[in-house]
Amino acid sequence: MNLKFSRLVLPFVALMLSGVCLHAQDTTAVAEEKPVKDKRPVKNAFDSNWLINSQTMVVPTRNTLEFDINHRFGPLKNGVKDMYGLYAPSNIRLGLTYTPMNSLQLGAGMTKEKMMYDFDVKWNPLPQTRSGSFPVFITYFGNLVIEGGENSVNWTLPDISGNDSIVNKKFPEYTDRFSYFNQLIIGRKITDRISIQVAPSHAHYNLIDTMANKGIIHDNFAISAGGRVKFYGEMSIIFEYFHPLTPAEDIKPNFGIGFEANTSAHAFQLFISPYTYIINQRDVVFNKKDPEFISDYSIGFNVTRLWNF
Amino acid sequence: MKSIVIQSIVLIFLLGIFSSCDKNYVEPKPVIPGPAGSTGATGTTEVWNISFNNWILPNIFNNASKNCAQSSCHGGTFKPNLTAANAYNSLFETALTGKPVDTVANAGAPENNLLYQKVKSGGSMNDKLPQASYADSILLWLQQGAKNN
Repeated sequence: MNLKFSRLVLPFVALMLSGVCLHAQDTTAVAEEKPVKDKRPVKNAFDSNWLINSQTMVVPTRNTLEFDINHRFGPLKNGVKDMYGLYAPSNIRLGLTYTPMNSLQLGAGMTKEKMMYDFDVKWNPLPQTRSGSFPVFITYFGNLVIEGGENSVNWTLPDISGNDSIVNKKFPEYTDRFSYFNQLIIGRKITDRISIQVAPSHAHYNLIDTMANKGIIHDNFAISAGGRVKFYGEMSIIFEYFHPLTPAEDIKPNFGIGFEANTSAHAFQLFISPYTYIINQRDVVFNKKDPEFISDYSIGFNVTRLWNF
Repeated sequence: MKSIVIQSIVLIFLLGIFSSCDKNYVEPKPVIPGPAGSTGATGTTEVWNISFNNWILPNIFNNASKNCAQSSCHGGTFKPNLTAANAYNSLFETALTGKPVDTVANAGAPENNLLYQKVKSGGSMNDKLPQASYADSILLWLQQGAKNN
């Protein structure tokens, strides 16, 4: 019996001992190798393409289709008369973006205010790496916006017989409808809960009205900063500040603060901010609502839906 | 290969952007000083088609009260000669100071014409005009091609 037991048990003991020995050898081997740097981008630096009125530094993974709903209600100033802007005239954007390859995103959208059509590109050539070998995201965001709507008549000049000889229209040339926005977004996911970004920006308008907007220029510069702080699960506080560096007369900066909740395929942001144009260049160049007065703020929300193919 | 595709897309996008980049302004409605008897609170009218012979010449260059073509001035002493018979051709002559009106050189920028530079507000001849604002109608005439109409 004892012999039989020994025959059964001893091989196991020997195997276990040999396993221990092998394990020890493995450990030694690993310790001698240099640690491999993980150069993959850090995950979930932000959970959405949007940070209130701006773009975040992240580009979704390849083959991601995103549907955006951006909504800005009216200003709070009318109080219960229009339920703090909820029933006031509002601004809406519907957009689609697609990521045909890692780090590059293309998008398009339509905005109600002035019927603006935007075509966007976001490119993240330098992501923050998981190993920390590259410490920040550096992302370019640019758009071309075409102002739609009627090409209304500004003024006419009749000839000697009273017929309109010269008709000056709102957009004398088609390219007068164009405006551009370029932004370099530099940001970092500091911890699992905190991500921040800074973005110097440039906005260009092909056509400007110096009579209606004193001091307006074609090329405008601005800088913005914003971030996200997760406070519970997938819920976060989001904030943003946008400061025009070359403002025309009466043009104001922006401050926005809100709440974000995420699921794997959705992001929902609810916030207040004086900026309501949604299109970045219009907010930077034309906003006259003052963030110092709470009555100038409006409630807004962004909803994104993601599909992965 | 992938990076080349990315760079190409970004390059095409940027080229598309900057090829249509422009710097235009919304133009104000011009105030055109009209001929005598015209309507309007300020004595102006909004009449296009500025006629050189029927408006510029009688109302500005050969105005009865302030005549540019006096014999001691632009009536033969100084170029251009602004008498009715010579004014149009003289404006296109090469003078010591250059051509007062050069539609070829200043095509698209009539405000750069020497004639307008002289008569516009701040120009040396502005206070010699019957009305200082008549410079606007000269600019309009230039913008319409400086025709002998």
